[in-house]
Amino acid sequence: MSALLRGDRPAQASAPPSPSSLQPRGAGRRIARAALGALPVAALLLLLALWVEGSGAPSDRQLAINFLVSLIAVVGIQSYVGTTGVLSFGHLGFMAVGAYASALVTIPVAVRTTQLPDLPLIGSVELGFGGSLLVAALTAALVTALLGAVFARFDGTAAVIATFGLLQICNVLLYGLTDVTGGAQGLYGVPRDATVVVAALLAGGAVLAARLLRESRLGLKLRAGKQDQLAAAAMGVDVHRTRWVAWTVSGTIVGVAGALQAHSLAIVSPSSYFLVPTFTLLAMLIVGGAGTVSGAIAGAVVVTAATQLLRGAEDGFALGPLHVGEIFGATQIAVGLLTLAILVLRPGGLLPERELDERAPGAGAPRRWLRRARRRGAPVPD
Amino acid sequence: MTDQPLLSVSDLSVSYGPVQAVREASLEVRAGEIVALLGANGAGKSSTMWALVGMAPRTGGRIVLDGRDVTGAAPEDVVRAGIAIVPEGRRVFANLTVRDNIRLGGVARRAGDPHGPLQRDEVGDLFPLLAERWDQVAGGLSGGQQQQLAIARALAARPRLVLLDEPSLGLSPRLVGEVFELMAELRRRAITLLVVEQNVQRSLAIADRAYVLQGGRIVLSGDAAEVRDSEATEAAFLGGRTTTRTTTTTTVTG
Amino acid sequence: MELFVQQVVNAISLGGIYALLAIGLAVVFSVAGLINIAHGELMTIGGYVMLALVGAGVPWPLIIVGIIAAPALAAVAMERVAFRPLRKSGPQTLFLSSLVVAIVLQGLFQSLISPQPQGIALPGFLDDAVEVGGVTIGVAAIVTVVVVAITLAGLVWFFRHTTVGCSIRAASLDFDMVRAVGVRANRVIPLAFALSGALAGVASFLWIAQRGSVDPLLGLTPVLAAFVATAVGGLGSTAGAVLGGFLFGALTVFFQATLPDGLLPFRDVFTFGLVIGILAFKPRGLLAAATGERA
Repeated sequence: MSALLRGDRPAQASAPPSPSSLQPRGAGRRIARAALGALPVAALLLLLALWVEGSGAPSDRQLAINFLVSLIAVVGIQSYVGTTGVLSFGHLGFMAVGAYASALVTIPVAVRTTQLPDLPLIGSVELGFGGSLLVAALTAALVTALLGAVFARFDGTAAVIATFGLLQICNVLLYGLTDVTGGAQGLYGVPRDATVVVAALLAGGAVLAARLLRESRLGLKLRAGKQDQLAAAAMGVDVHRTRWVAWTVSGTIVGVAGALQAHSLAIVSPSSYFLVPTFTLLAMLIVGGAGTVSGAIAGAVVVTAATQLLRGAEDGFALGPLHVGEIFGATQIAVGLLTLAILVLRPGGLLPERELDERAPGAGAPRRWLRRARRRGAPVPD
Repeated sequence: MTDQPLLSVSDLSVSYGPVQAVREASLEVRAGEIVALLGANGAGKSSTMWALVGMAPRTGGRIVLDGRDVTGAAPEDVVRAGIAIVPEGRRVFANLTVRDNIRLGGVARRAGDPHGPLQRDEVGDLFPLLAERWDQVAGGLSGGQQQQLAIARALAARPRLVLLDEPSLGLSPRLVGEVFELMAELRRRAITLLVVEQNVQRSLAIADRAYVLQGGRIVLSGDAAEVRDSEATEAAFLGGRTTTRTTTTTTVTG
Repeated sequence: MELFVQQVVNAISLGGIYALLAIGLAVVFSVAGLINIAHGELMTIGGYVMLALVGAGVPWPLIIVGIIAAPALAAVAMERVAFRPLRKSGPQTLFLSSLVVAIVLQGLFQSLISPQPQGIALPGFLDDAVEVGGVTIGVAAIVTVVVVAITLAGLVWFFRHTTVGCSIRAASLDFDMVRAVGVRANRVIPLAFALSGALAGVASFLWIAQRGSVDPLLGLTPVLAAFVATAVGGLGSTAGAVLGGFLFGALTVFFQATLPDGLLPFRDVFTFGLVIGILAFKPRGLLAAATGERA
């Protein structure tokens, strides 16, 4: 297993996880722990969103939504990759499922019939944004659950290859199922219902869901299976089943990100769900640290910021007397080099293994909470 | 015997992360000797062997081969300097023929060796069966033949010192006997051996000298007969009957 | 009958290209523990070198040397920059690093050359067809089959009779032991990369000979196929790579020939789906190396 996905440097990776992070706790305490980790992030996101919504230019709002879409997607991917230690390249497929499903049920019927005259099943259904999010989540959940029966069984190198095949299959279907997906053109006329605030609320929800998965009994089993699959199985953990659940939860979160994206860009196109976006999201995960939800968030922030700084270069800029023309792919190259640097210099990413709120000196809130719990006489581990 | 030992190891330490496998072990092997390295499971024998060829994480100490410091050298350079290893479990290249196994063994032939690549008839001299099966795939050989091939592969490097790690492990009693006869034969051919063995009595019967490892430390060293008769040897295999034993190095010979 | 023979030739020529790519992937996996997704970009580099040399009017023998040498050198450079610093890392980290290399190179091709496909003027005879025993067969397909056959024969010789070839085969089972007998890792690993690059160059020439243009994503599709082919054959096994390559080529041609028109766009869904199915039952591949996956 790679050091990267164990979220630690090789030398320390063999050390057992600290007892406090893997010891089962009561359900209430686990939920509280997840909430304590997620709520500050959610509140911060919401404050930023309100600020951008209030005083930002339209381009700022678009940027903010793009960032939040990436954040939800990365957190979604993290909730499988980070908890199981198994890589997946297929998750952009689930983002596509969410995007297309939510687009299909919200594009005005008149527009839709001209685009997709042969669209089966849906008929004259036309839902609002909220309903379409639900449709996206359910469709993504169904698709991932079905695929998970096979794909959540793969491990290591076989997982890499199988999920890459899945991505390829998904791409072929998006281009080929023209009656449903609009083929290479994709779909247009999706209502721009996504606001920054809604996006921030969804992002907060995704972070909370990912933290709940991580802290839950299931999450503990998953992390046990990640440390040592055989030992976990010997302790009665059904590794395949727990991974299947994580795979489904993770795919569903990513599907919601797709729906949000569709309703912010107003179009859905197949190239948004292939190799380069897959790479960008994985780059965020690597840079931040696949082992933690905090890492996924940090990665989304850092990579988005880096991309934004480089956008200028892509449009061309003056270098002294020289005018450097448009450079295609400049951000792609830069994000690639950043990721490579992290892989070499800090293989666990910026925030490996322990969540931000679990890190010692600054971890005020959980500690205070634990102290209070102890005072009430609860047997809380250190 | 010359004054200067062929191999001189001082204060060797090996650590895998937080686990320290070998602690400040010092040992010597003189040219032409068979030296046995004994100890219970997990005592650090294999780690010592792998550290000698530069493939275990050495955290301290010095390794000198015939006056040349090979501490920290890459495995390919250690082999070229004259140390070849026959690893535990044989690890022959199962998908290659006998010929190609020996060819790879000869890749790092010692610089300045006058003999050239190990030839089929030379192999046949020691291991007639291997010469017969020259073009067969190693994976198809029996366990005993694979052990012979692993030794022949090491000899192909024309080494000055061969490290034999558990050569009799997993072999039938008859084959175990053959392995020990082979060691004697190698010594007659002036090949120096450092042997790790579970089979203590037979090792001590054939070895000139022995070292006993316990918990990563050398707790006893001396002539084979003296080591055989020492209480400390028994203690080391029973797993540290007394704690003081583990820290006292009983040097029987100087 | 004629159609059948043509399809067989197609299957062999397509499978042959996949096999060459798959061997390259297997060789690198053996010594470096890496499945190199940037293998596709090695092919693309071969394509752009071909574009430049044809454009400059260089004679064909030199062009062919260039198509093979450039990806080989690029592969060695890749190893030095992106993989050697990560040699102690696990396979997934290495794979991610190769994905980074692939994406960076694709970005470079787009920004320095063009995002659009560039046509390459090929010798006219490649478009011809000849009659062999009453069956019309394209020259490009015949050239492919012949080149693949020669290359495979050369590889068999290389793996059987050279020390480096033996080292690479042995490394697929136990690279640590290969190092312990004294094979220089820093020599055999770059050589394996160079070999994989050269094979990617040959594959690139054959691929372009049938298509006539090069674009930044040229290598992606065939290498994805080769990827899956190596996995099915058994990672690191060169024989498995050949088997997987031809199997995947045959499957592709079979589905192309038998699927109804309405399903043709979904050919890859069937091929990849089938292959993932095989992997689900045999995660180590059909001819897996005995020791299985390297950690």
